[in-house]
Formats: sequence, structure tokens, C-alpha cells
Amino acid sequence: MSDNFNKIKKFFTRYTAIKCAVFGVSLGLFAAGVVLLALKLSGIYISPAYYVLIGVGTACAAATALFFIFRPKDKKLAKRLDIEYGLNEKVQTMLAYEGSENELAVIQRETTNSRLGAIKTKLRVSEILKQVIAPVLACAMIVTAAAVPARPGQAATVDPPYVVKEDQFASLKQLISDVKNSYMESGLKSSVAAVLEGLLESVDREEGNEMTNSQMTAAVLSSVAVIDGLIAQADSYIVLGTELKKSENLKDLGNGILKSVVSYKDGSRLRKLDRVNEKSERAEETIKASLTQKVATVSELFAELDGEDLKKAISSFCEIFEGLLANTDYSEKDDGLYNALSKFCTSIKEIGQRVGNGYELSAIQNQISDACTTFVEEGKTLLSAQLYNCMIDEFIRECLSSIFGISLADFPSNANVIYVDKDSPDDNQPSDGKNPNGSGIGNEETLYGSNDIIYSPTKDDYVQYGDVLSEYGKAVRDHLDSNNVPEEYRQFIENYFTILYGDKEKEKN
Amino acid sequence: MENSEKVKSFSQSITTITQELHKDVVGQDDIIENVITAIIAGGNVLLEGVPGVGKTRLVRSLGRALSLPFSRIQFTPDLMPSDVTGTNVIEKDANGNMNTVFRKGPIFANLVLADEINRATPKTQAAMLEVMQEHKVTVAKQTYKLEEPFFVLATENPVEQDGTYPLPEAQMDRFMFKLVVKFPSVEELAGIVNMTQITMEETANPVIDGKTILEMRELAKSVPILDDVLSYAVNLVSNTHPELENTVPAAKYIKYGASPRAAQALVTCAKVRALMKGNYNVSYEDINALAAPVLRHRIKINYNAINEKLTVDDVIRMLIDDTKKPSKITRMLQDEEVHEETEKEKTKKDKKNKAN
Repeated sequence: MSDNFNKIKKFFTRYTAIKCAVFGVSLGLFAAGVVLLALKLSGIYISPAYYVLIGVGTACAAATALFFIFRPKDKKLAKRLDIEYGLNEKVQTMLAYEGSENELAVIQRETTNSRLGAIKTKLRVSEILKQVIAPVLACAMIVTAAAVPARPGQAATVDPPYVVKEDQFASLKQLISDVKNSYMESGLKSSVAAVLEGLLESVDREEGNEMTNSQMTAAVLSSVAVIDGLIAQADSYIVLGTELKKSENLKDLGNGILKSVVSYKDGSRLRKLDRVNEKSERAEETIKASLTQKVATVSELFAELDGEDLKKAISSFCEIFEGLLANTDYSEKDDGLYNALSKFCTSIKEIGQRVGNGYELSAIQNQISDACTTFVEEGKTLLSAQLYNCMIDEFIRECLSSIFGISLADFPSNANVIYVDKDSPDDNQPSDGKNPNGSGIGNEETLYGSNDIIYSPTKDDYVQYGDVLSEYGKAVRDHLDSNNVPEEYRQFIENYFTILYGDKEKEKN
Repeated sequence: MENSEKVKSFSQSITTITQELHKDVVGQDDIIENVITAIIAGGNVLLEGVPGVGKTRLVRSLGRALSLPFSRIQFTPDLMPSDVTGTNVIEKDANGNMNTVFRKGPIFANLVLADEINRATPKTQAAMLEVMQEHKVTVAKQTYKLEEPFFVLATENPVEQDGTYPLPEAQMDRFMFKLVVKFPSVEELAGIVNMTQITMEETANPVIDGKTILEMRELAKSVPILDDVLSYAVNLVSNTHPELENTVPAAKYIKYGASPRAAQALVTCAKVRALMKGNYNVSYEDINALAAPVLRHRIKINYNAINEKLTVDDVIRMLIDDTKKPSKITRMLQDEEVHEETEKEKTKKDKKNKAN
């Protein structure tokens, strides 16, 4: 290949590379500017490193592609030289006859090479000016994007500082006050209040020393976990109820204990202490009714028996009862519910010992019944207190979620509330299907009973409707928390669940 | 590299010949250049021009510059073929024996001026044209080869058409070029008058000889030509045929197009021209410059061109322009115009039929 042609080709290659680089950079700047403008107008904030990445990536890709397309190829360059410098197809002929040994072809190559040597490869001013247009436009785009004020909105930053506002402080203080004014046992109340006060202290930082978003979230979730733990320690219903369910004869009693505490769950929110207190008062009667029904199964165990059979049955029952209670570690603690259950067991045991010792069967049955009634009275109070603790736990979660804008779905799961066995009949069964005492769905005329069987996708099994309605309610609440649902729709949905769970009944009454 | 010397001297020789010819011929630069091109390319030239513009003088001067014998044949209606080629005559030798001797006709020269060839009868024209084609004469079963280089410059008088026998198109095709000698300009005429006051004799000096012409002819054959340029030349000739597909708009003015000899002549002469200009490759410019001389006597324009007062040269210029344009755009335009033209022609035909 002609030396001079190669020199010219190198010149044009370099020039093309520079042109492509300039255009690529311009395109990169333009792309970054467009993205910046779009995100700014959408109110979205991302790290500047992303803009740099977009710009550099676009620039490299564009420059490479353009160079690949526009790099000077021999034929095209030869044609261009012939036209631009009036060489009358000399260069193209030189290229076409490159390997020819024809004398004229050799002379043609030599003379053309000489002609090419005389060409001074200089850029025209117009060519240079053309290359300036693209960078200018790109810079204009970047400047415009930078100058446009950002729209306030969803700021999805990596971890910006979190500044606790005055109303948040006030709300948190109110929460602490509510906890202190609650009906929780004083020791537990103090512990829970102390955790919340610790949270208040941690968010109350001096200006310039604020927490970041993630730190604040971690502090709240940590506090919630501690409170859950405190309440779990105070509430024994889960351990005791679960243990009793292991026995066929005590299964109903165990279920009754478990369901009593979660009976308050109707999908409604607990954002006010008054509401908590109000619900807990209503729940006490429900607990009593439930316990009465469940405990009655104990007396039913011995109803058909007499004499030695009865004695043996009671002895066996008490042995199992004592054994189950002994399995829990509440034997060494002073737990009210444990003590009540233990006392109930002892009572039955003593009654059993009286069988065949001059007591009539009816008297024995009455004594058993009295023992059940005594347990129900004691248990009602104790379980109500534990129910109240659970409600306060949930109340605190709701409030913290609302104060700090953290979704309930991000909170640690609440182990203080469990699901009950699907086999056990719901004590909230409507008597006539029209006035359900709790879970239910339907219209004025026809209400589906809470013991109707439906399919639960989360459990992948068929369950009673009443068992999963609360789950559905929770799912709806979580969705409302984590999505931007307009307030009027949120209120509408909450009203729906409120109507579903008894306020309607209240209105009717 | 012997050829390199020849190549380098080629252009110089041509320049020198031209200078010598300009001693005897004023102006007519294109004609001189094309005639020299034709001689070197090995073709013949048909000159069209009014009397007194220097056609004979040019050939005479050319003969002197090229050191080649020259003869002139004035064609008249009564000229016989044997008057051109020669004939056998009976002669008495020294011993008194009667022998048949072939007397060579005026055709036996290197440069022949066939003046007013269209005045001769077709038979005489055919004899002349046969010699031009074959470069040999056959008389009484005896063939006499003509000495190379052999070049015929035929002339036609465009004014006198009465009593003439126009050359048929098939025979016109044997001429490499048709050159139109225009009346000299005022300045040129003044120059002619001044020059001929001094002497009427040609004063050109010999520059090269016939052998050198043949060498130059061989050398020109190996001038490189780009495929694109070759395609361009071929397309130019192909576009003169309106019956072919993908023709150009200018083809609508052509009744019939050029033969393949036109393409051969175009490329051969373009190579010579390139060397004459000091170039060592054929360019588009060479093809464009020779398109008119090569094509003007080979294509026949139709009534469309006559109606629009277009000459053959105008049509050739349009062909050159169209051949450069992309065929797509050209075709689009052609479709619209052909459609219009077809409609017009249909209407004309209908009117004619009705009148008949």
C-alpha cells in the first residue's frame, strides 16, 4: 500500500476517532442530562454516581459504535480523496491495481503516491465548527437539567439523614404517656415505657448529629422486638394453652385459652388507647363465655361416669393435667394463669378423692361444676389481662408505624399472637346466622357464618372463615400501609372491616 | 523499464505533434486532439464541416508531423471502386511482353482523406469502407495489405444534400469518431488569413513515425481502468437503448442506440486520452469527453427530440447526466414522464387513425 495513502488514512482514522469520541461524549452528556431532568421532574433522587455511569456508558457505547460505522475504509477514502482533490480516480485505480505488475500500473501507483504526498491533510474550519455543535447542545442539556428545581416527592435515597419532626416527638411522648396510663401490670408497664423512653432519647439528637433513615428504622424495630419480648415473658397463655392441647381431654380447654386472648383481633386498628380499653372490656365477657364453654367439656368428661370409673377417670385426668403443667417452666414462676390452672387441677383431684367416700354422685358433679366455674372466674380475669397486654403490644406497633412511617410488614412478626387449631369450633358462632358475634361477612339479610370452611392460600388448606378473616384484615392493613392509597379509600376500607366486625352490631343494638 | 521511458515521452510527443499541427491549423483544438486520439487508437474519423475549414490541411499537416504518406480521394458520384482501390492494367515490359500489373489506388497510403464520402455511390462507399475495416485490398483474387498505421479521415458536407448517398448506419458504425468542424471564430479566422498570407504550404515538422504510433497504440492498451469507470462507460452505451429495462429519461429521445463497437471505442480512446493528458489511468472525465464523438453518429434521435428542438449532442449530454444519477430516482421520473408521453402518443395515434 502506498505510504502516503497510509499516512492520509491514519490522519483520517485519527480524525474520525476524535469526531466519534466528541460525539460520544456529547451523547453521554445529553443522556445523563435527560435522565437527570426526568428524575428531577418526577421527584426521584439517585446518587450522582449513577448519572456518571449513565453518561460514561452511553459515551463509550456511542463512540465505539460510531467509530465502527464511520472508520475510514480504503475504497471510501480513495473515492473521497479523488473527489476532494480532483485526482480523477487516480487513488481508486491505484488501490484497484495494487498488486498488478503491469508497468503502467506500477508507474500509475508511483505517480499517484507522489501526488498524495503533496496533499496537505488539513481540516477545514467548517469541519471543526461542525464538531462543536454536539458538545454545546449536550452542555446546554446538562445545564438545563441542573437548573430545573427538583420536584419534592418520593425521595428514594440510599440513606439520607432522618430528622425527627416536632409532631413525631409529641406523638411518641403521647404513646409513652398512654402506656403509662394503661391497665398493664405495673412492672410490665414500667419496662415497656422505659423501652419507649429509650427510643425517644435515641431519636432526640442534636442538630448535625441526626440519625440516618436506616438507623432510625433499626432503632424502632429493635424497640418493638424488645417490647414483644417483655410481653411474651408476661403472657403465659401461649405456652400453657399449647401444652394443654397435647391432651385429648384438655384440648378444648387449651384452645379456649388460646382463642380467648386473640379474640380481640377483628381486623380493626388499635391506634387509640381508649379503643384498646374499650375493646378489652368487651373482650372480657367474650372470654368468659368462651372459657365457660370450653371448661364445660371437662365436666362433660365425667358426666356419664360413676363410682370407681369416675374415680379412675378423674385420677387419670388430673395426672395428665399435672404432667402437662409440670412440662412448662411456669412451675417455678409465680404466674397467675398457671396458678389458676394448677388450682383447678388440684380441685378436681380432691373431688376425685371424695368419690366413694360418702358423697353422692350429684354432689360430686356439682363440685366439679363449681370448680369449673371458679376457674372460669379466675381465668377470665387473668386471660383478660394477658389479652390486654397483647392489645397494648399491637397498639404500640400501630402507633410507632404511624409515627415513623414504617410499614407494619417491616416489623418483626408478633409471636404473642398465634393462630388457633382449625378443628376447634369457634365460640363466636352466630346463633341464627344473622347476628354474628365476631368474624363474618355478608349483607343485611344473609351473613356467612364464621365457621364456614374456605380455602386459605397462605395455609394452603381449608380452614374456618373466622380463623383467617383476621389474617385477611392484616393483609389489607399492610397493603394500605405500604402503598399510597388515598385517604378516602383507606377510610372506606377500614369502615368496611369495622362494620364486618361488630360496629354494625353496635349500631343495631 | 523501457516502457516507462515510452510512457513518459508519450504525453510529450502528443504535445509536440499538437504544436506542429497548430503551425498549419488555427484553432480546432478539440478536432486535433480527437484526430490524434483516433489515429493512436487505430480508428477512423468522420469529419462533418462546411468547405474551407481546414479538413484537408489538417490531414496533410498530420501526415508531415507523423512522417506518414498522405493521399486524398475526392469522392464524386461517378467514382468507381477501382478508382479507390486500384486495378490491374496490362503493360508491355522491356521485352515487349504483355503483363498484368496491379496499379495501386489512392487508398494505398497511411493517411487517407476521403473527401465528401457521401457523394460516392453506395458501391464505391462499400469498397472504401471495406478497406477501412479490413486494412487490405482484394483485387482479382489478389490481396494487398495496407501498411500500418492506416487512418482514414472521411468528410461529409452538411450543406449539400442533393445528389448525395448518406452512409447507412451500419457503415457509420465503422468510424470511431464523428467530429463536427465548426466555422472558426473571428479571431481564428483572422489567424487563418494572416497565416495563409505567408504561405499556403504546410510547415509542420516530423515529430514521430508510424512505428512509434504503433508502439503508442500498444502501450495505450495496458492503461489501467477502474471497474467503476468501465461500468460507467458500458452503462452509458447501454442507456442509449430505450428498449432495454432500467433505461434513463434521455433514452426517450432515441430511436435506436449505439452498438457494442461504441463501448469498445469509448474505452480504447479513453485510455489513449488518459495517456495524452499525462495520466496513467482512465477517469470519468475521459469517458465524458469522448462520449459525444463516439456516440453522435451511432445513435438516432426520434421525433420527441426534434419536437423539443434537441440535437444529438444535447441528448448525449442528457445521457451523461442521467448515467451519473442514481437509477431509482431516475426511474421514478421516467415512469411519470413515460406515462404522460404514452398518453400523448396514444392520443396522436388515435387522431391519425381517425384522419386516415
